[in-house]
Order: sequence, then C-alpha cells, then structure tokens
Amino acid sequence: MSVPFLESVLLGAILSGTPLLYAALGEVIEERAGIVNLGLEGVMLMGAVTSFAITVQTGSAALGVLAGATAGSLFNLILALLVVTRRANQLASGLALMFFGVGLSALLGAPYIGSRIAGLNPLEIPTLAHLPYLGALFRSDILVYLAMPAAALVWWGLFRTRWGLSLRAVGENPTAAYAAGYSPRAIQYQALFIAGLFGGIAGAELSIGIAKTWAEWMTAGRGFIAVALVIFSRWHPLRTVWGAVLFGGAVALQLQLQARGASVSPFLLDTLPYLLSLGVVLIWAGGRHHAAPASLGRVFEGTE
Amino acid sequence: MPSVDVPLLEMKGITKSFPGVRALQDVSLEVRAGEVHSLVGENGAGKSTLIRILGGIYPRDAGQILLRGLPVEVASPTHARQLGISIIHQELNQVPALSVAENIFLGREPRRVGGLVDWDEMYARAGRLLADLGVSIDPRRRLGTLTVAEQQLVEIAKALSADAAIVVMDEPTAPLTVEETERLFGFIHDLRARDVGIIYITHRLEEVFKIADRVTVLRDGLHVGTYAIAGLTMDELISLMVGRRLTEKFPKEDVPLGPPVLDVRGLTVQGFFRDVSFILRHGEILGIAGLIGSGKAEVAHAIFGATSLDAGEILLDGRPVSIRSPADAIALGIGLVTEDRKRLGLVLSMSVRANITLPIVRRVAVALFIRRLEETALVTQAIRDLDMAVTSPEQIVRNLSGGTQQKVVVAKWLQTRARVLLMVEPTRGIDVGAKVEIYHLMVALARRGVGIVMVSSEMEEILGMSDRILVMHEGVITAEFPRAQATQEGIMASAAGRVRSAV
Repeated sequence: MSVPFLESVLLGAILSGTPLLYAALGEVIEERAGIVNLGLEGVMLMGAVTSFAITVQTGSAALGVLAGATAGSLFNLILALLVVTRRANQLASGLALMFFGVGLSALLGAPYIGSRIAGLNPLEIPTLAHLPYLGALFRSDILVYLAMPAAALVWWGLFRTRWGLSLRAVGENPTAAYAAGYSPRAIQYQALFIAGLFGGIAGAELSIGIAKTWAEWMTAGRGFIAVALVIFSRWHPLRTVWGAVLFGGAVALQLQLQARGASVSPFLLDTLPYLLSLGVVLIWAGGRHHAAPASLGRVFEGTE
Repeated sequence: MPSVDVPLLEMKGITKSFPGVRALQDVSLEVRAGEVHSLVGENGAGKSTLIRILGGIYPRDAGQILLRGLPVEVASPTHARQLGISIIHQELNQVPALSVAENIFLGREPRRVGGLVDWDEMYARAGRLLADLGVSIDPRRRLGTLTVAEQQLVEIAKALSADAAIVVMDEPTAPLTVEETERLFGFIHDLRARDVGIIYITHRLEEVFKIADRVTVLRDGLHVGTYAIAGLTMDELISLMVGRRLTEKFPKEDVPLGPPVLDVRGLTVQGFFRDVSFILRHGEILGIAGLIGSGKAEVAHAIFGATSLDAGEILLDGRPVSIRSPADAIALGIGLVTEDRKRLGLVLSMSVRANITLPIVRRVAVALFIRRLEETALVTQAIRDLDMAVTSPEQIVRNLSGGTQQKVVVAKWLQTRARVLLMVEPTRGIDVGAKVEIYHLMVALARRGVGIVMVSSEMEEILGMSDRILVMHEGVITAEFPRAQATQEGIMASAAGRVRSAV
C-alpha cells in the first residue's frame, strides 16, 4: 500500500475521530452521572442542522458552532425531563429522543439540502503545516485542535472539582449523594445540559467542519458508535481519545478503501466501524462491568 | 436560654404515615447530652422511619423536634448535619467506587477557590481520622476493595468527623468482629465523655445492656416506653419488644441422631481454609463458630459448590459425590441459606411464589409450562407450614420483613427435599421474634432427619442451638465442643487461635 493511503487513513482517523470524541466526552459525563443517553445521535443531528442553518443565515461559522452547542444542550434537556423528572426508562427515552432528533433535524434542514458553505476555516499552524505526511493535520479547523484539550478539561472537571466528585457519587449511588447533601436531580440536569453541549459541538463539526453541507441523518450511526466508545474507554475521558482515533480510523479506512475501489463490497465496508463497535461491546462488556457507574441506567426514586 | 437539665434532643408526638401504612404514631424520644440511648424494636416497628425523620430524609406528619429545648425543622440531610445530627446508616450512603477519603468527606470536602477540592488536605484529614480510630486503612483506596467491617469503620469515622452533637448508629456492629466491636464501644465511651448524645439501634440486645443508659422500645409504630437499663432484665426487654413473653429463646430439642449424612474430608480452598474435616449426622445441628475471616462461611460455600475445592472429598450418605456447581449440590439434596439473602438468596423483585419454587421449576413444569395448580398447592402449603406473614403468595419479596424473607429462603430449600441444609448467619438482621421462629424451624427440620450446618457469628445462637460446635481460626478447625461442654470462654479462646485438644 502506498504512503498516501496510510497518510490519508491517519488524517482521516483524526478528522473522523473528532466528532466522535466530542460526542463520547458528553456521553462519559452523562453516564458518570448515571444516565445512558441512546439519544446522542439525535442530539448530534440537532447540533449539526442548527449550526449549519445559522452559519448559512449569518455567514459566521463561529456563531454556527455556538448555536449548535446550544441546540444540543436544549434538546438533551428533553431527556432530562423524561428520565430525571418523570423517571421514565432511560433506554426507551433515549431511543425516542434519537428518532425525534432524526425527524426534527430533517424537517429543519430540508431548505438547506444541497447548500454548500465555507464552514469552519482551516487554521494553518506555521512550519508544522509543511511537515511531510502529517502536514495536513496542522491545517485543520479549530474544533479539531480543541478536541484533546476538551478531553483533558472533562477529566479535570470530573476528577478534580467538587462538582465532578458529586456527579460521580450520583452515578454510583444517588441515595448516598442525597444523604451527603447533594441534589441528584439537579446534578443530573447539569450533566445532561453539558453533555448536550458536547453532542451539539460534535454535530457542528460534522456539518460545518467536515462535510460543509447538510444531509438528512448525516451522523449515520456515529452517536451509537460514541456510546460504544464510552464502554471501550471504560468511562474515562482520557481513554476516549484513543478510542476516538481507533473508531475514527475505522471510518477513515472504510472511506479510503471505497474511494480507491477496493475489491470488497462497499456494503461490507460500510459496516466496518459498527463491527468494531460490536467487537468492543463483546470483549469489554463482560469482565469489566465494575468500571461502569453502579447506578447507570437506574431510576433514582428518591429516598422512600 | 436552655438550662442544664433541658434534654439535648426531644422528639415529641411524632406521627408519620406512608400510603396504606401508619409507620409511627405519637412516638417520643428523648436523648440527654452524654447519654447512650438505645432504640429497639422488631423489624417494622418504626425505628428507621423515626431516624429518617430526625435526619431530614422524611418529613413528619405531626409532632415536634426540639434541639436543646428549641424547636427545629430538619429540612434536609444537609440541614441535619448543620444542626449537628450525624447518622450512620446501615447501607444507605456509601459509594464503593469512590475512595475512602471521598466517602468520608462527600458533601463537605475541604475546598479551595474555584470549586476545587483540596485533595491533599482531604487525604491527610481522612488519614488522621482513621488513625485516631486505630484502623490502618489507606484513605486513597477504593472503598469497594475493603471488607464489610472496614467499610463500617469508615462509616463510623465519617460520622465522628462531623463534630456531631448527636450520633445515630444503626446496627453498627453487625459486620464487626469482637475486637472491632470492643473498639467501637471504646469510642462510644469517648463520645459520651464529650457530651455527645448517642442513639444506638441494635438487634443484639446484650449490647443494649452493655453500653446503653436508657432504652426506648417501639412496637408496630407505637411508643411502648422508655426505661432505665439498670432496672430492666433481658427477658423483660424482649417481652416489651414482642408484646408477649417468649416461652424460650432457644427452643432446641434433643433429636435422636441418625447415621452420618455429610462426611467431608480434608477440604481445602487455597487462601480461605485448609484440611477441614467433619461428619454431620441426620438430625444434627452442627454449629461452626469463628471470627470474620476465619473461613467459616467459605466452607459452606465450598460444600455447596459455589467455590471450587482445591483438595478434599465429600461423602453424602456414605457415597462419594462430586459437587462442581450449586446445581450439583441442589440435585444431591444440599441447600444453602446464604448470609446475603437480599443479593444471593432471593429475587427481591419477584413474588413469594416464584421465589419458593425457583429451584424446582422443572419439577412443577411440563415442557415450558408451569403447572400453576400444583405450584400454588406447594406454595400455600409452605406458607402455612412456616407461618409466613404474607398477604398473598403474589406479594413481592422486597416488601417483606427480614424474618419473613428468611422464611422464604428456607421454604425454597424445603421444596428441594434437602437432606443437608447449610445455614450461614441464619438470623442476621432479623428481629428477635422471627429469630425464635427460625430456630423452631431448624428444630422441626432436624426432627425430620435433615442435617444442618449452622455457620454463625452470634455466640448465643451457636451455644443455644448446636448439638456440637466446631470453631475455626484462620482457615483451620481449632476446636470441637459437644453441646454440654461448650462455653463462651472456650469458644472465644479457640476462635482467637488457641488450639484445644479434641475432646
């Protein structure tokens, strides 16, 4: 295989991995607070369509990112209302949120199908951008550069601050957190709001960062890959970075193989990232269950 | 201003109802500074509800709470802590995945500016607290990696760290060894000297007489009375709790012993116990005593096939058998009443009926269909035989009292026509009335020829119910006592490691 092939797979891994990383960081925050969000796909789509529409309307990609993040977090609050306030089943609510997001984003995005925008500008880093092979990496957009610092920020927030400690306590044992004087419901609302920001940014990177266009259901399952990625990283924000590169690599490999007309059925290639997701859940799910927050998916019923 | 003789805490006329249940009616509790006040009552008497009202977890329907003579509204757990009320819950508020120090300081972490936790300070303070308690636990360890007893000590450290005026201890000694219990009593004495008021909830009535100054008895949500310990005997206290005189606490009967039913030789599980041999006869109750960590519970688990043996053989009615899994044990007629009935012994979210017939589903089923009539007959019979306090076979097990739950576990094994019943801590967390019923049940089973191995940390029960007693220390049997020669001192000495020549 030629060097450009490997180079483009590697670059593609970083690029495709970026939205996955943002989405997975959001999911880590939610799951650490005890809530599985299967609606992440819908949150990403809402972020993607909103940021695209606002970018088209205002001509400002920065405003687009901001609007996408806000849309994601507001949309995620629907889940908070369902599972925290109404104590609904998390899996069912998440799936409903996902389909709602798919439908609503298609509706909102209909006028924009086929529009093309400049989107987020690449920021060229002097000298590094002219390195052989890897130079293209340093001509990425701002969200790509900020992805890894964001992972570090989430780590710091979860493991260094009082808020993070209370959030982790809620995800493990909400009754204990309540007895210690925290409000599990308030903390879960906060977690879902912040996770929504991340999901929205992930969507924005997809639509105005990478594709620079809007297409219905353009996330194509990336929200679910991000959920698998969280399991792969064992609920640790720093390990999600490696997971994102790995899964991003699978996406990039599939695209590159198809672009080069590899003699494998494109339908089979399409399944590559999802096969990897299945494999991860298969291998990691069993023996490492202790890594999962103990009250993940459970409904906090108060103290009765 | 409150004068000196105003009690530290007064709860007056406390009433609380839950949908369909009157949990407390006109209950009063008065605690003086420097007093150890014991709160006793059978399960469901309302002790926990009263404490949760004090701790700001439940609102009350009626009544008054006075702290140093002044009325207070305890609005939340945080508020309770600010008022100086510190509660050691039984199982409420631990987070196994967090570190020891994080658990101790959760909700009142040492702070730095900007919402940050002062981690160095937190670990240092946690270390000092634990050292003061005389326990060597690394505050950075994950709580979940500690033993239950160590976790309990962490819980106590947490309560003591809060500089509380009132400390509530809910069954604090349940998982503790004798030494740890003694150490805890030492701290209670220290706290008393510092004018802290202590509310002490326990099922172990001998502890009430050991450390309490006064005792308040609750029964069915009603306030039976408050008594000075000095003027009370154990029998009087028990009859106050159960509302009737129990004819006998240990209804042990001599049952003629049959031939050996279980013969174990040289059982060894690396890291837990080695070379354990004993013979159990039909109709015999064999007690196994020992401290926590002596490996006594693991012996029962190994015989049941829940852990695999590294060496040794098991004979059942004289025939060597191979037990590789609990399924093998059940097929051979061995049952295990586990010490952790909520997690291992029962499916809490299922009905009494489903729990009882769980091990024999195949017997009452044709192909994939359960013969409901036959199942119902079996279950109704079991409920009657064991005199279970259930409203219907469809009642969910989670909602039953500890004693009734334990009866469901026993009923389950009766269905399998067990020849050998391994009972680990059979009366842990069960109130005194239900305990006696479990003992009656054991005698009835023995009379039917069932061999019972009773592994227990409760000295009274070991002495009161066993035909013969084995004592284990650090994985080996250090002594064997026939019923007539067993004394508390002898068993304690052997449990502490002094080897006694066989009788």
